[in-house]
Amino acid sequence: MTFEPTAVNILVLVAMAAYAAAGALLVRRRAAGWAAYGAGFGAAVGAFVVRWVQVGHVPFQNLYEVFLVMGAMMLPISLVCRRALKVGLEFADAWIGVAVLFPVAFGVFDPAPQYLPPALQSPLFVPHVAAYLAAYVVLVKAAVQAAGCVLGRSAALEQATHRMVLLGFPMLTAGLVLGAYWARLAWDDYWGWDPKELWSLASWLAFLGYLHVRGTLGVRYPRLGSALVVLGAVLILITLLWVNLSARFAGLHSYA
Amino acid sequence: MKRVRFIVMWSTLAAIGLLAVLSIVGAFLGAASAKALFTSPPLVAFWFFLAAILVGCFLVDWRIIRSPGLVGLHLGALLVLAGSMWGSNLGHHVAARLFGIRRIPHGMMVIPVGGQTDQLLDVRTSAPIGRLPFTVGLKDFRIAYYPPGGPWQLWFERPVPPDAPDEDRWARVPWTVGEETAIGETVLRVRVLRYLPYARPTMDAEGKVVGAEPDASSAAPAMEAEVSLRGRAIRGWLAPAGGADHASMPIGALIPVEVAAHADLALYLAEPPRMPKDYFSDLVILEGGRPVAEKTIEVNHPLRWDGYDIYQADYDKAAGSYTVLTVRSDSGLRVVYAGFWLFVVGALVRCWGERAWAVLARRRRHDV
Repeated sequence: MTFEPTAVNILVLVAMAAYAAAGALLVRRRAAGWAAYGAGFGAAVGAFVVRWVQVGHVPFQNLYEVFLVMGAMMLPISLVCRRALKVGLEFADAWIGVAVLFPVAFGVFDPAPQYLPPALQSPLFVPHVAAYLAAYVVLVKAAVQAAGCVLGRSAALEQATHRMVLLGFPMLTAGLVLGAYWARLAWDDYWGWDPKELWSLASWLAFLGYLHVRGTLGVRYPRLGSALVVLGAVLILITLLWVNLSARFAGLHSYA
Repeated sequence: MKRVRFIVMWSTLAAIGLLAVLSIVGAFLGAASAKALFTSPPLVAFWFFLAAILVGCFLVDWRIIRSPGLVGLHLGALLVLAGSMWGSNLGHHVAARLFGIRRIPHGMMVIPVGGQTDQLLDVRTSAPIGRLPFTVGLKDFRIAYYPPGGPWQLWFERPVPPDAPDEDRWARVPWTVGEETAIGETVLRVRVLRYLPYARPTMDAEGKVVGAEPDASSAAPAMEAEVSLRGRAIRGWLAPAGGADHASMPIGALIPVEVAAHADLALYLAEPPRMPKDYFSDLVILEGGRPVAEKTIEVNHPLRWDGYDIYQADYDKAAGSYTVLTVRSDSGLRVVYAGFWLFVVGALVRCWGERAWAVLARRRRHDV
């Protein structure tokens, strides 16, 4: 684990520092916290743009790039949650941003630029990956709220979890369906029983199960529903990390 | 009715949980075994059970009918299930038995440039599995490459028998300017002294490369390297001349004379392999021996003809002399696609639209 002083990594390090400052400041000094959060967002977007120029295509291809993108998504998602859903805990979002950008800056993932293989040269590449990444960030944020509900059984956290899942679930569904539609065009079938497909289906089913529990049983079992959201987030992390890093799950998505 | 609703509700939750667990099991099994698992008789029964639950939801849960989003989600799921079943091997078998619709669900074709065939092969065994109702001809096959990029690669040719495969013959030597690395599994060491990305070789009177100078107009690099063995060392330049894609540096002089077989050992500096950007097959469809359609297909751009989709899958990597196509029947595909879009629209309407509508209605009531 080393820090290579490339332009992207320096900007990511700046973003991490600003996010960390935001994570600390947003608890009490909110104006300064939002300013730091904005600065971190600017640095993360700058790193994304530099990477885009370097590799010559939208940098959504490998773990180095998708974690960079997720780091840049934190502020917009915090703002949507605050404005549209009345869900707070932005300081936690900022710390999630630090955690997401850490492996980018410190060489955990291979930063070597890669050519896009023929299958990824499709107009569906960006919407498919973007829908998934946005859903992942939203649903991990939902899991933070849900974990609080599991531990403390707060009605406010339960409501916030529900609103966040309602925001993220259509994105997750769009990612799944766009992927299936694209797979039919590229690989001749919309479902290949590939390990990554199956893990992503399992994570989608966890949130579908939550929505069914919440829809049919209401708020009578807040801990059961919240536990399903936390489980869904764990499955997302497995889909994103274990499946991509382990040779055990080699398959059609191995270039990711 | 309340009891039936209770059963449907818990059956739904159980089915979702079971499917999630089976998905995780399938991920550990790998794609081929997972497909076998999910199309096995017990799981076929499960898919029918799931379809029955979805129909049951409409019959017993009035909330679904009242919500356009929930109607979209549940109807979408039902259509995806129905279309997938109709497009499965079993669905094709049933269609042939009941309606006389005979189609081969899936297969592949291997066609040389200038050749044509209607024969479908099994994707795994390459055994013939049937014939298409039309013939596919390959007029031409082309590969587009990314421009070569990155530093050239250093290779060592191992002293192996002439018929040894390439992976046994060639060892790639990682290099960084100024650092010493081992050459393959030998005790030989190499240190790259200089690397000029764009260079022109300088030669002596006998045409031997003796150095190199930077030259921005050149597409080839030059490398000065030192190879050592137990305190002895030789230096030399690896500089491709005249547009060559590699250069070599003999290192046999370092090897003791009694090992005569190793006297012609060399290091090679070679252009990195070019990555294929895309590959194209110029196809022609023939019916009754006459061409009826033409299309250039590539990855992500299949050809659809007479109920089959024809895909660019692979090609002859050695000489580019043939193309490999996969062919899939489109039975049930439109139903599945309709299900996909109903599903996404249903999720959006249910999770975003209906909530936004409720918030707006609440605000309007407050305004009044």
